[in-house]
Amino acid sequence: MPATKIGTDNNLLRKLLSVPFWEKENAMNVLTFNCGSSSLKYRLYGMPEEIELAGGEAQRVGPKTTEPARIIHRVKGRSEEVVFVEMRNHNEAFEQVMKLLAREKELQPQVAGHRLVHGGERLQNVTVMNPQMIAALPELNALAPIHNPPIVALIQACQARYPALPQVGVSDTAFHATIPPRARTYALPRALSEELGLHKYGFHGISHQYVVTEAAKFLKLPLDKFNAVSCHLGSGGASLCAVSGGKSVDNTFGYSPLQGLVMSTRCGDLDPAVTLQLLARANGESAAVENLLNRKSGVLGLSGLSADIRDVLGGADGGSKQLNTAAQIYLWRMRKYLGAYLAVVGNADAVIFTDTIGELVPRVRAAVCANLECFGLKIDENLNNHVTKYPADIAAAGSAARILVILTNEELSIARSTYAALAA
Amino acid sequence: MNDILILRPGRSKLSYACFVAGNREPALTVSGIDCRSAQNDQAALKTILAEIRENFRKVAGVMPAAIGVRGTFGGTLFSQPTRVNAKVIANLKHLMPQAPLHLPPLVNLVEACTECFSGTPVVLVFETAFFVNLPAKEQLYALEPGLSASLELRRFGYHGLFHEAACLWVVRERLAKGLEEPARILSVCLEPRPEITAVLGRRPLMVTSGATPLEGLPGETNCGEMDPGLLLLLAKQKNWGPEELNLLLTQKSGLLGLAGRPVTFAELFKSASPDLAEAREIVLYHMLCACGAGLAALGGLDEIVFCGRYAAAGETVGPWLADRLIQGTRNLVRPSEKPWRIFKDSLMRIVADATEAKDEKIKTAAKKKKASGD
Repeated sequence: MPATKIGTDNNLLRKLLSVPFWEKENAMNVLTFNCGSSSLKYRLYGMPEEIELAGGEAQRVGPKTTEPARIIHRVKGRSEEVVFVEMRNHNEAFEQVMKLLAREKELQPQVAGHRLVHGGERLQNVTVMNPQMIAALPELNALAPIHNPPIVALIQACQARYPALPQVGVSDTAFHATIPPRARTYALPRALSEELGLHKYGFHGISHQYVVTEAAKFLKLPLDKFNAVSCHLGSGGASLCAVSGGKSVDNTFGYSPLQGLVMSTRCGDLDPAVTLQLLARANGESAAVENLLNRKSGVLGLSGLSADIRDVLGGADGGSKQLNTAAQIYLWRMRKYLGAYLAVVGNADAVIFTDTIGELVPRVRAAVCANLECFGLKIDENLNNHVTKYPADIAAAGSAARILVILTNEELSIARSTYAALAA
Repeated sequence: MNDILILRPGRSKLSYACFVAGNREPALTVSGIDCRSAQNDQAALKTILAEIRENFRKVAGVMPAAIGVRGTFGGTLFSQPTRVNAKVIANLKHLMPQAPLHLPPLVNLVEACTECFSGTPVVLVFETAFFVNLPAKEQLYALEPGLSASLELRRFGYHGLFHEAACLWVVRERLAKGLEEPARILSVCLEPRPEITAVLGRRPLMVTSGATPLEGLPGETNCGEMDPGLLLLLAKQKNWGPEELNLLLTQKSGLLGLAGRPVTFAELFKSASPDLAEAREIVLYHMLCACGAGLAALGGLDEIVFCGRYAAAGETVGPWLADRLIQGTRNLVRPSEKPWRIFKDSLMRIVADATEAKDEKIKTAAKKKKASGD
């Protein structure tokens, strides 16, 4: 696909963006950024054809580790290359990535799409950010103190260095902006909720949106008539999303990513009185409780062995009672939420499994879907155990709802949202 | 049926009901006796009990054959109605740290009772008893087992008496029709703190409440489910301590917080007032989620039963829920005949039945013992 190099030419960009999106001229190179705590993933897509032109990952960003920092860089049609370069923070990683892309003129981005973990009230929708918004971004840091700051710094660096490059914020909360008040409202005093913006935001939206879109395509159903429960089961975080008419109507996460399912190190749902009891026990030190509930609970806390459910399932097979209980609690919570969301969605077309655990661990899928014929759900054991091609439909022939395993692609999801935001 | 006195101590008030042989309705019900000052004063407590004794004698003509006392929290030690003796009192004292507001006045009351009604059996029935044997996977939070054990953190239900009686009624009605398979029941208790449990036959598999009654569905003044991260934010941003947060979550939230004025569940489901529309939607939505989770726990559904003081609101909630659960599952779920029922017994009646059943058991056991001794 021919890509026009526009560099920092504002007029050309404006001209390019004013062309209706169905015109071939509106082809656009979309560069996506996805910050991890010590990594930076990037992809350059030729849109709307969704051709991956380049991509890679900067690893070991931040303070020096035992191994040198590096960028694994791929360009379409060429073999992978590893570039060793010091990157003390995400901004430096970003600079290095831009340098690598600048080597070829076909690889110039016309827009950058950034994954934000928490978009707050202001970035609840996918947003083309103006300089004022970018300047105000640090206000979002408090909402996701671990995840947001490097992304915010990166966006600001990008703005300073490439002021003409449009930047789009795609938050993990954006897909959940359609959750209705009945599901998003906490039963707290209204004034307090309004003052502090206390309501369910929901997370993992970038992934849920992607697999839901792909599932509807796969089943040849119109997205706006598609009902499903999407299960994003990561090796770290995990959440279920109730989808009605292609839109998110509920998510197991809440105001923060602490509520909901049992996760690798996060506790998920907890009696509010227990949170208060833990606070009292820590003499009101909320940071200590936050650490306990975020990093020492969940699968790790229950098992005392590993934060990875695969290890725990293995250990349970070995006869460990504690590990068996840990696995049962993990699976049971998920089952309950699946039942809740199937009731909410009503006549679901599909249950979707994605991300590391959802894609790779058949017994989790089997345990979660077992004995749910009352919801029209019946898994085919053989298909479930032998998924070789994605998307896979692992539902039994007579199952009224399909059970799908789909590989998530957050980068492409960001690129789609970014492209759509500019085309709109 | 016997002459039975039922005592229901609250946090600051005492209620009682006098049941006279041959009548299912109480001959006398008195609620709201202020006993705040008497709670830790045995002499004052005995004065109150003496008056109750006189009132019972007036309406029944006799002294009660047994006294039933309803407690909220009995921990794992009390899984069924228990006749009070010295060992039981010792056990209750042992449990006190787990329910420091509830148990000390209860123990005082029970001790005063055994003195005031000397020779009359006193039977303790607890709301949590029905839930003592919840499956481990439903009981436990995703916290380190050592932490849960040291703080005795586990899930209970807090309306076990209503649920158990309602489910027993449903099971008996089904038996009368020859339906012997253990029924898959969703029991919806409509009280100021509502609670839904999924019961297989007579065993609960899932319940909305948690280690305390604060978790689960939103209530008239309590918040229900809450993101722990949100509470930590409040602690940080507002600098609120556990006590302030507790007050917020238990007294100022729920329907009160949402509607901005005190609202009962009776009003919520009866009223067409637009200012309650959203609160109603929120409550119904959470009920639907809980029922869906219950369905997953049971693997199907045979009965929906409403109980609690607002059970009559089941007339409104029942059709709504049944609609979503039956049609929302492509008619795959088929509760038998009528999709929902309403169990109308009052809590006092339920406690009286439990007390009487326990008293009969004690007497039968004593007779047997005597017979074998002869």
